[in-house]
Amino acid sequence: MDSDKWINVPCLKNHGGAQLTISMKNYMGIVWDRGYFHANDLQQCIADICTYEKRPVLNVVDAYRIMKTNGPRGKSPSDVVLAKGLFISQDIVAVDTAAANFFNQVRKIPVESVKHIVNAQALGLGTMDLDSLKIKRIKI
Amino acid sequence: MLVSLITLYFLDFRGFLPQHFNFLAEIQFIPALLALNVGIIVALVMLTLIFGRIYCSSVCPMGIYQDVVAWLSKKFTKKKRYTYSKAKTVLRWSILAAVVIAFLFGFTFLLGLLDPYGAYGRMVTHLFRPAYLAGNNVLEAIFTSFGNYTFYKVAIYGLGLFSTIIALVTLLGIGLLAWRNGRTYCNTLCPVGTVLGFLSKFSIFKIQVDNDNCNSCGLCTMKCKASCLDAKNKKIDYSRCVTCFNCIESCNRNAIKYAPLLPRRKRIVDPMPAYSCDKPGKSVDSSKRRFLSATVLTAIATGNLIAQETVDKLLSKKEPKRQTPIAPPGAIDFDHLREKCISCHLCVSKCPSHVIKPAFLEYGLGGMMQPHLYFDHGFCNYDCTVCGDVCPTGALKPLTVEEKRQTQMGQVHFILENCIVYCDETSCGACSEHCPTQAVSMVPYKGALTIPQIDPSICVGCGGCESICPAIPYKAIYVEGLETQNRIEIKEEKAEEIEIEDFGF
Repeated sequence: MDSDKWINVPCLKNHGGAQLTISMKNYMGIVWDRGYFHANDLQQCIADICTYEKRPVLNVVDAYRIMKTNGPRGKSPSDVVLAKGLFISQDIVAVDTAAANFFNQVRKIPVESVKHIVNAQALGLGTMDLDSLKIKRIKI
Repeated sequence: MLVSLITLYFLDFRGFLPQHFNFLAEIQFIPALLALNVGIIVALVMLTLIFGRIYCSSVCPMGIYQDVVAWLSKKFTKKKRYTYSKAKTVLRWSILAAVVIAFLFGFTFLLGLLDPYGAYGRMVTHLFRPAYLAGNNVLEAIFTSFGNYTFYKVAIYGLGLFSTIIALVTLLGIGLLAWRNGRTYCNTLCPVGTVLGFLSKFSIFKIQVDNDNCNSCGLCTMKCKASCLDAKNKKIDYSRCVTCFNCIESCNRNAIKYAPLLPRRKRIVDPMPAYSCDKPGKSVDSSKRRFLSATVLTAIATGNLIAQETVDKLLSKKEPKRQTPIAPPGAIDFDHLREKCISCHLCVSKCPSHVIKPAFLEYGLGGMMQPHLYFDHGFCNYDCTVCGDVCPTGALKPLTVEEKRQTQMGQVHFILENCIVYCDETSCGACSEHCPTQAVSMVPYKGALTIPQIDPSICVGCGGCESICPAIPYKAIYVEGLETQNRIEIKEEKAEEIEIEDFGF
């Protein structure tokens, strides 16, 4: 909160309540009363908190080991997949959409069902239309 | 001094003292007895048979508490003399008998109430500890304002009115007795005192009066906290002497000493009359009191019930009311807890998640003040075994982390009508986020929504779901306790081999 710039570094995980937890859900780390969020339309609250004036300069989605099922807590190693992915963007909506599409190769969770991403686009926080963006795809 | 360490161990919330300092509780007489810790029992019996009631002056925390109060009293009152008094044989053996009989019937509550270590533990937990934590918070405020972060704020929780009142009554009652007349409690109510007193009659080392030098001036009697020194007849009641050595310090004729008295020699001191177990004393007639309190309670309960039904009709939501209390992990079953727990509240003090609270009537009358779980301020950490590790009587069996994770203390119950997903049709999932075994998992509901689905068979009863459920006014998910704790098996799931080659977008 007091820093000049900050970088958002979430992990890509399945989430029981929000469907997926990626960059936007990572904002929960600065929310004190998370119970309020859960009780008052979680998906909208997540989109709302991302409008906080100090935006991250970068969103770095760690998709190296992702949680496929039983997220975000998980109950056994079988919930985890070694995906070896990494997504970086200044556009929080875009990077979450990309990560969601990546996730769908492992388990089908349509990005439209991850309502907080849809809500964020409606708030003008970014775009879900990946084709309109310049994306560098690198395989190592 | 042992007492300072025991007190500090109860108070310590930062872990300054290593956890294995719970040995300070394990060497206490009643806990060792209940835990069937033969080594300690034998050691304490031998200690008493050799040295007399030295336990009462060095190990027992309640003894030192009384000494401190007595010392203060001598500083602040005019009356600075003790006098000799006769032994209260009938009283102390009746109380011991009552305690033993109740215990044999499985009701350790009475023993716990009178046990000096247990009583002291409760005094510290409910009275000293809140003050200690408050002091910490004051220091935190001061130091933090100077930019020093040595201290951090802690929450101070109420732990139940009943236990706090008992602790207060104990503090004031025993304190008053000590203020007026030294170690009265030790020689009347304390079951440990009665037992060790009997043993110390046969001790090798005894306080002895030298008949030649003693002129019966009575200086020693004036200092004797246990009122067991008859200076006129130069006799000492060894069943009551707590070997505090005040008498020896006070004598200016060197006429009193602490020395071995071997059996063959002629005994200087007159042996006290043979002990006998008299009939248990008449119990206090409390029927009138019970009737009155029953009436008042019924009136209050009825009023509350009427109010509740009105509210329920308005909201069409159900209040989750726990019918069976949840015992801490390692309690095995309610009978085991009732039989072994002396409600010293060490587990209450030490629980890092603040989920243990003394019961009132949740376990019935036999389990008053014994620990049960509540999830107002946290939930039972899946990886934590502190309560069982510190329990000195074995009422809470020490478990390994693996055993603890397989211990089912309660089962989850879901109330659909209270659930936010059902009522508001918005996403939540907080309960499943906390569930360590995924006994609560989220399954597809309407549209993109997910709703909790429970599998009580793999629920451990940790209360993660209940503590976090944000539904107001009533939670939609809670844990019902189990009288006997079960062992659960979690099926190992095989990890799929998945290789991802593409980006997916």
